[in-house]
Amino acid sequence: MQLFNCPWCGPRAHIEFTYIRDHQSVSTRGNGDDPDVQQELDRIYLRSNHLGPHQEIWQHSAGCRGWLRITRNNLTHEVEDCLPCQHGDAP
Amino acid sequence: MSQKFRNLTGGNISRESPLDFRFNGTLYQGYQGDTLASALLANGVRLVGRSFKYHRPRGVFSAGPEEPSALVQLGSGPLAEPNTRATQVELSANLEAFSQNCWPGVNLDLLSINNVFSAVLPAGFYYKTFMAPRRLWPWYEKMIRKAAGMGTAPDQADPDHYLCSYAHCDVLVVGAGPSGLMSALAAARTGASVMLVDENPAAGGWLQRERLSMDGMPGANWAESIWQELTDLPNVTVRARATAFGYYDHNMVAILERVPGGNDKDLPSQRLWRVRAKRVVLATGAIERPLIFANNDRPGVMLAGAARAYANQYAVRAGSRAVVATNNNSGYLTAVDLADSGIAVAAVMDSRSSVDHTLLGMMEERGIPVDIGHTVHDTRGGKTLGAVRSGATDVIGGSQWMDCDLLAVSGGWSPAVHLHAQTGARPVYSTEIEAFIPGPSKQAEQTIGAARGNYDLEGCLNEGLRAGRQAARLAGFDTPDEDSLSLPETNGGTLPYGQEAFWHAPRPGKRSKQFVDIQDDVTTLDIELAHREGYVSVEHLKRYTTLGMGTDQGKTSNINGMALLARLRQEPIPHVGTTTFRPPYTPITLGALAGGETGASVKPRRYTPMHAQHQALDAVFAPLGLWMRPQGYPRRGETMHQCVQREARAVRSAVGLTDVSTLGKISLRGPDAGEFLNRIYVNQFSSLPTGRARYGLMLREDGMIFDDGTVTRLSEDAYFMTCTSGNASGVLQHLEYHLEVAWPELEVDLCEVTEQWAAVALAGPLSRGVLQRLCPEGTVDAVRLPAMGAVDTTVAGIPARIIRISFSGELAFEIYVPSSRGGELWDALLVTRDNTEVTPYGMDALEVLRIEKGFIGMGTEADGRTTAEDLGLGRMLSKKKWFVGQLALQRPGLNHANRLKLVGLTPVSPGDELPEGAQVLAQAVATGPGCSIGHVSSAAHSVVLGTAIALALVKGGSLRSGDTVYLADRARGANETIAARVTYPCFYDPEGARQHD
Repeated sequence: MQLFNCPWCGPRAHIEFTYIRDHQSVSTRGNGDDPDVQQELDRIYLRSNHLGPHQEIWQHSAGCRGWLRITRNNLTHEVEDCLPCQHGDAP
Repeated sequence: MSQKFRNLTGGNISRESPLDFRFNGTLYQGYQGDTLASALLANGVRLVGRSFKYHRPRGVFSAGPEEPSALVQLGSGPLAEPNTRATQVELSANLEAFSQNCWPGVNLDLLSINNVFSAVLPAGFYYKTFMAPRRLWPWYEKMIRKAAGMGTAPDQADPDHYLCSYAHCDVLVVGAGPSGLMSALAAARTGASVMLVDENPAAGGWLQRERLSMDGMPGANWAESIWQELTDLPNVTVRARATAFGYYDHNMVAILERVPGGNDKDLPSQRLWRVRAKRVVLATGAIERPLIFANNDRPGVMLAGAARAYANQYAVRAGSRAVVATNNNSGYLTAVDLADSGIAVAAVMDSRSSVDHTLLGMMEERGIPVDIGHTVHDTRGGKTLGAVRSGATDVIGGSQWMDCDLLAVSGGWSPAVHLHAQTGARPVYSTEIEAFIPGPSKQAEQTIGAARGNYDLEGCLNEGLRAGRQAARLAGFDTPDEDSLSLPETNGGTLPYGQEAFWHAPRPGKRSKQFVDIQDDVTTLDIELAHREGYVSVEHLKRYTTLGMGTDQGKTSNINGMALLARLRQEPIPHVGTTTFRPPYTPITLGALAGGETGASVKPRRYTPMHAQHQALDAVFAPLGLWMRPQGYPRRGETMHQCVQREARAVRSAVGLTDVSTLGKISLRGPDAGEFLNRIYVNQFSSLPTGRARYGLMLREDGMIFDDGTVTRLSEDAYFMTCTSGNASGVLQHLEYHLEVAWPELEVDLCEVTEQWAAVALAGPLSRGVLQRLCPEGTVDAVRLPAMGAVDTTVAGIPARIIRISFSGELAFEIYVPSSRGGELWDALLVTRDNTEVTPYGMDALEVLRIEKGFIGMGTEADGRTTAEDLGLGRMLSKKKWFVGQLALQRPGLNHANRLKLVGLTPVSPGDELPEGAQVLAQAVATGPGCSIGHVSSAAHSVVLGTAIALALVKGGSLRSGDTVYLADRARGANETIAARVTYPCFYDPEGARQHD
């Protein structure tokens, strides 16, 4: 069972967290921005599936409900970073 | 009942605590401190079970977790536990055990006929033979499984209970042998929190089995004193009978603890510990390897170390006349200890070409002949060993028969690298000790002692001391300067390892069985066959021959098998490699993994604030997610169908009351709340006036409908949202994600208030009259509270929020009060002052009313694959603003004419039911796969039409209006299709006049 170091709660077992999505797929676009359909669809459906460090969005759903950007090696499960999701974190 | 093979003195057993037990129905006696295996041997029971495939007689082969053959069924009925290792079962009073895989009994096993035909049963036999006809394979498989078996799983619920616990420590030490004890002690002296676990009931590991002295006392006593010292330290936790069986991510080690509860029913039978340690020290010891020769599986053939363990730890003579066969010095210790325990040692066969003189001196002293360069080639006997044939290692079949009933074999020792390898590390082959030793660590772990291939006692103690200090230091604890911890003085009982590889004797006959894996009946012939047929990868060899696939996971057989494969491939052993080490190290009970999460404790149950009221009305409850919600309130003599129809009719003609407390409720506040809702919902919310509610539709990013619900504007910057009961947590997460990750610039606060509010819907033409008499004058008038209006007021004196919203199509009010007053509200609404009958209605009636109106259901019509356009809600999509999912809706596929769209269905023959889930066909007869043009998403029996009605998703949608379609319901066994007419998906008051009145 993996261990994530929640920036608000400290180290917690991963069963307290919910994987939300690949960080590549996050859009911070709000109202009024110029829409590009193809770009939007690529963001939703197409992601690179590389080996190694990978940025993921998780929620500490059974804890503080805070949002995390975790850099996790999908080969070794090594967690390189576990940071709060902050404005401007769009890929 | 006499223990003929028990010595009067010696051993670490309590002769003052005799224990009665039964094996295959016969009563025997053993002592406290025995294992089932040692107690059976003490009573001269040599034949314990029958082998997996050939049903050959098998006995006790080892004295630990590596046991391949003495597998027994413990207990009977629901408490039965199959495949337990007799070598690890602690003897307890009235223990009952049975042999496995034999019929009618272990002494006369009719399936041992397989042994006679074994020549035609090589590896892959079943696959090759039972190829045709293919349809008979299930039958073949059943028969094969019956003949080739392990124990029988109990078929009743397990009456034992189990616990799962979490624990944390700075240093976890696995194994309380000399290395582990020193390591734990050294780490503990630094002040670090230490946990020490061992799978045995007592500490010491091999010290229990040796005759040596440490600090002037027997090794076992020294171990006990250190264990006690550790037990008394406040920063140390020790757990005996605790097997570390799995090493998982980020230094989490899973440990299964057997709890000796006796008759205490409150104690769990086992505890599963998930221990997260900063550093882990693995001191898991080594496992002895057998030698390979013909008929090396008879009861009486035993690992040399095990024979020594039975003599030293249990004071049991595993036979009367022994031969020792070895390729290393430890066999001589066995010869000495067996001789000293009263067993006549006929000879030592040493496959090496030369032997140290001190060893020969030790043997001479006891009159034991030593044959250097010799080994055992074959054995004979019936149900137990009778004689062995020995000879020079290169003389095929040996030259001389020698009578004996115990053959102690040692083919060297393999470090128990299992847990180390489970970290993802790759063990490396050491040609020095001819075994795999730990490679570079992949986690915060260090493997020490015999588990690292260090077979020297003083070396192990020293290594333990250093590893304990190092682990503590890496966890942030320094060894104090005044620490006076020193190594104990050891004396006697050890020899240098001195191993020289000898993998197997030449095969005496073409078909002689030289067992490599005793548990799975895999012989050298099978391995050669696999190699011949191209299974040259060690992973393929394993799966083709089943080598190492038994419950012992090849603890005694894998290395020998790999060495054989390496020879066949003419490559060094490291090139062949090992198979993957996977948890668990020893088999574990499934119940332990489930822990307390069984039966009603699998998931929590949620009750609404009106639950007691529903119970008083004899409601029938049904689960809705985690909630228990009334399905209906059947009266005496009423069927559920009649009940639902009555309840729905009451709402249409008078007034009904239903509990909607399970709705998800979210409070939103902040200057940007309106903008936030505009982005989240497809329709506009910032323009919603204060005191008004609006129905909203939420999409996923891919354009599919995610949820629906209502939002009420309470003030300039405060909104109250409801969402589908079953989707409440999903909606909350969706909102939180967008607010925290996507648009943190929006100033909005969210709070889930589902459990803060009790809620009911009062619906029906008479509902306003009922409410008017409970509310302040005029508050719920048609003018003051129009459709989609909201007001904060009181109902029967209870502070309440009333929203005029309808999910039944009738005039209706949703009333929200504080949870604590939900029951009071229910009672006040149900018992009216003017004797208007208010009918409580449940989820099923609600469903009838919804379907009659053609309102979409989440999970039925909105099934994650439908868009707003598909369900006739396209006009809700705002064109003035952007919202989540908007762009994806432009995909051509989502605008295709052939998409499944919402329609209504009525039966052509009024008496027909319309089955939910049925496929919709254009013709009366299914023409084959792919002829479906849609499916029935919801169905009910309409109270207004008096016939069945259904909502369906059909290709073309309203273009088919008036067409006849056919419903196929093969899944429920219906062979005939049902004719139905496509209609507009609303069966009642399509203009909505009633709810807007």
